[in-house]
Amino acid sequence: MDKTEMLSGTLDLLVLRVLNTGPLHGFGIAERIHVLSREVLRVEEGSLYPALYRMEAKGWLKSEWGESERGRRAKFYGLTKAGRKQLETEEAIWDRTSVAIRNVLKSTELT
Amino acid sequence: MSWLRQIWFRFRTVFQRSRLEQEMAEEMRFHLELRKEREVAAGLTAEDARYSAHRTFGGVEQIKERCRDEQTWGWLEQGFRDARYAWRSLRQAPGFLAVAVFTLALGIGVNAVMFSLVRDHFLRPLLRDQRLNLVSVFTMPEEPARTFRFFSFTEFEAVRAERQVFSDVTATGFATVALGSVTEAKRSLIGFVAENYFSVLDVAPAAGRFFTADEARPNANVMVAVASHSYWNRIGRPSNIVGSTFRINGLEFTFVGLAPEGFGGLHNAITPEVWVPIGVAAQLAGFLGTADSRDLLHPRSYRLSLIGRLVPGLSLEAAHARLSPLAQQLNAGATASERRKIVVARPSRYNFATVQPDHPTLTEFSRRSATIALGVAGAVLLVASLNVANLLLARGANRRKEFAVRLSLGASRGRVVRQLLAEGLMLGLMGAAVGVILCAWCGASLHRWMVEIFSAGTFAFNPQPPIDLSVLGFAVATALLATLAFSLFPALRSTRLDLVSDLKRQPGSTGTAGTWNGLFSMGNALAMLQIALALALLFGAGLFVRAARAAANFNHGFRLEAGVVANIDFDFGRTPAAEIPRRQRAILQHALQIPGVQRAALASAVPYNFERHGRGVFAVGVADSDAQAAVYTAVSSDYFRTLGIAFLRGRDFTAAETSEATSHPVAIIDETLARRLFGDVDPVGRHLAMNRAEASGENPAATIEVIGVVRSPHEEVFEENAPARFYRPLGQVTATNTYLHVEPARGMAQSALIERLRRELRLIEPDNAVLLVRPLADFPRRNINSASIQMGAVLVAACASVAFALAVIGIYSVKAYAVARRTREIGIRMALGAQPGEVWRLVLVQGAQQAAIGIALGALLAVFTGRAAAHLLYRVSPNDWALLIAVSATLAAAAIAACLIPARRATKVEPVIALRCD
Repeated sequence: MDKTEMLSGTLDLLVLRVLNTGPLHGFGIAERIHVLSREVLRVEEGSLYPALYRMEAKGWLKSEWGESERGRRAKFYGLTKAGRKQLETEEAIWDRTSVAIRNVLKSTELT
Repeated sequence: MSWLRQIWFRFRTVFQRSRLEQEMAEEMRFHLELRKEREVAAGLTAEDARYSAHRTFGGVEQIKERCRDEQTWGWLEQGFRDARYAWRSLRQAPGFLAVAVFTLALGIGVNAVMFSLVRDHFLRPLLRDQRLNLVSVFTMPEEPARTFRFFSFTEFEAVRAERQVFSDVTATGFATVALGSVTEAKRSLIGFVAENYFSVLDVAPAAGRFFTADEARPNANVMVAVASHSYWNRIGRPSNIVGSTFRINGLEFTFVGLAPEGFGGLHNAITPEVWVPIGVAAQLAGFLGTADSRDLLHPRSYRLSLIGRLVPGLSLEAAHARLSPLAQQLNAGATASERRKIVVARPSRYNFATVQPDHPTLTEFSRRSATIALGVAGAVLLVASLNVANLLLARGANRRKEFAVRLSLGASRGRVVRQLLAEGLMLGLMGAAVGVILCAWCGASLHRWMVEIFSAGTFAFNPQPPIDLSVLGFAVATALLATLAFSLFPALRSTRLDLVSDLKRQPGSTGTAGTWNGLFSMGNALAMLQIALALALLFGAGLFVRAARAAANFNHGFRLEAGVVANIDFDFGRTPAAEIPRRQRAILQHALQIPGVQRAALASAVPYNFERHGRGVFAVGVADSDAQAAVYTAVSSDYFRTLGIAFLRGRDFTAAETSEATSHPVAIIDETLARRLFGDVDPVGRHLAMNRAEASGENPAATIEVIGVVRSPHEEVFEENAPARFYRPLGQVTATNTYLHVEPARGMAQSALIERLRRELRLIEPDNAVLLVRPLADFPRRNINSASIQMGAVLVAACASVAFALAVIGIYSVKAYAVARRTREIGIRMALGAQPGEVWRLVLVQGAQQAAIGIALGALLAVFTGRAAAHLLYRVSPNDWALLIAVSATLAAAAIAACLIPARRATKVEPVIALRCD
């Protein structure tokens, strides 16, 4: 399996992004990121759960216990209003950063 | 609202710990199961799938730990948890807990007591509030080396009007008076003050009011007073003090107010008993200073010392620059030699009379006293901390397995160290709590003792609250410092583990414990340090105790044992001056007729009472004779025999000389004055003069014939050389202050005589209060200087005893622990044929080596301590080798004794049991 290291700071953005479509449990979040990245990105549990707890402590996420698809009790994370705002901010930052990085990379090719 | 939710989210971790833990575990389990199902679906066996899931997930406990860190305000929740865990862990070892807390409490308590003493007497003896910008104001001759004097009221008004320099100036003076009721009075120091005195010093009354400008006007003679808090305490804290009456020199005064607790004017440690407005100063004799008249409006009535507040932001230098116009104004019409200048200085600790800086020996003395007091206390704390560190090391060694389990379960080493520090901190704080209680208890006893000492003097002792915020803060700070000292190292050391071998360990086995038996292992090094510190402290205590003994055995040069002293001061009453000699003779005659009185005499001063009237004395007919300062006492005949002061030459005063003013003027001098004035020549028959003109022999009638020489009596323990003295007969000179010395006949009880004297004196002197009737021995005993030597010795000795006991316990516990851990090794040795003697040697030789190293170190430390304390030691050399050897021998014996019990236990090891004990 292809394990691509996550760029630091992007995990929060990805988690917020996948939760924007609706609440998911931890395993679901990891799966969704894996799938949406065409199986390039793989979230390590060792980073995922501390990140989830951190974002919940910051008030971006709220958690609720509910039923999973197979009827088992699972903890679902959803975005709060603050979380949605944070997602917008992070997306904007990411856009700016990625454009900037691309520009830098292009300019290196030219020389 | 989101911040509210955040706060709740974090707080919840404190209160809902177990629920959150459960949820976290469930969340992780759910994840793992989904992962496992996914692997099974991909074709793995159930077992392989579980393994794979765990491998990709990583350490569950580590992840949980990181989640916990994210989830909370780390410090808050973990602090709670650490505290709870620490308490649980400490509670499991109540014996350890009790010993550790008690040890620390002793260390911290001793420090708190010393701190409160140093705070009251050396750090804060003065009201020094920077905001007030207080200065003492002095007047000095322009030409230096002239006599100092106080201010007159007119000068005070001029200085007070100087608004360029002072925002306000107040005046105060002291007077000794008979304070009390008509029949019961005590010689006391009171202050007379201007109406703005309290406002300049920025205090508010605890009850009632302070003085008004009308009351403070010269000769206003409004008989009102403000009580000091300590006077109020002494009379039993009556709730109705405001409005109550009392007497000063027989005159009735009414209390209008009560000063706040701890206020004593510029000085914090001592205080006048009461304050009266300067408007009544004319009724009071001065305590210091020169006054041609008691009337403040008399131009040469110099009775006031001034305290000013500089205008905000003004420095001393700037103030001096602005003071010369004021001096010009005051010098108007003065001759060149009379011209004076005005000087301001920060309030001094000791000098309230002159502008000279604090006397270096006094400053040095208090600096050294404070250093020694805190140093001794610090050493006790260090010994206590070392003891607790040793206990913690031993405990840590026994808990290695526990730590190993926790570390392997995902706790970081920092976490475990923090846990151990939390245990240490809890011990420290509990020690501080008990220590503060000990301090309050000791402080109360010390305080009672000081009040008793001071009750003999004219000043009142001004107690500060024994426990206040500064003492509490100090105790907590001490506890924190001690905690770091005793728990950080053991914590770091105990958690440096080799996981695999430590997990396999059985409690109590030797294993990898390593250097436990090395001569310089941690525990042993700490024990050696304790021996060294205890030795230095014991040596210091020995020096102080010897000093106290030297002071107690001080040869006073007069008989103390049986004598009784009574005091009446005609200065405090209204007896006409011409009447006084007759009344004094009547008192003496009456006293001699009391059955059980063997001898009686009168004197104008009593030894050890800080009452000294000095005079310059010249020898007549000795070329270039300089004035010799001598202490002057007026006495009746038989004074020297009553006090047991030996005659070296000549004779006593005759009855005629003590009763007839017209008799030939005579004096008796002591050997010191004889030597200084006349050298080797026999002074009997020579003449003294009281000034240079008479000394030249121009007016033979004014000179005084020396008729006798007596041995010098000492009256001040701190004085290297007794002052020169001369005595005049009461008939030829008048003295208002009258001390009746009585020597009881054999078989007469001192207490009965005191009662009898009190009654008789009241009977024949109904108009003058009897100020005291006391055993003569009381004067040196309650002399503040003798008492402070005794107190120093008691405090240092108490500290040293505590340190000694702690050090012995420390040695014992290290040895006992080492033997317990060596049980297996000793068992093997014995199984292999070692004799008990060799086992004894095994333990004792090392003990002796450690004691020797500790003692060598301690001896060095002791020599330094002795040098540092040398200034405080009363007539004792710090190089007391005999004492050093004795103390070292005591410690060596104690150290060996502390090893004996563990050694004996070692020889009782049964090889078979020892080998099986793992």
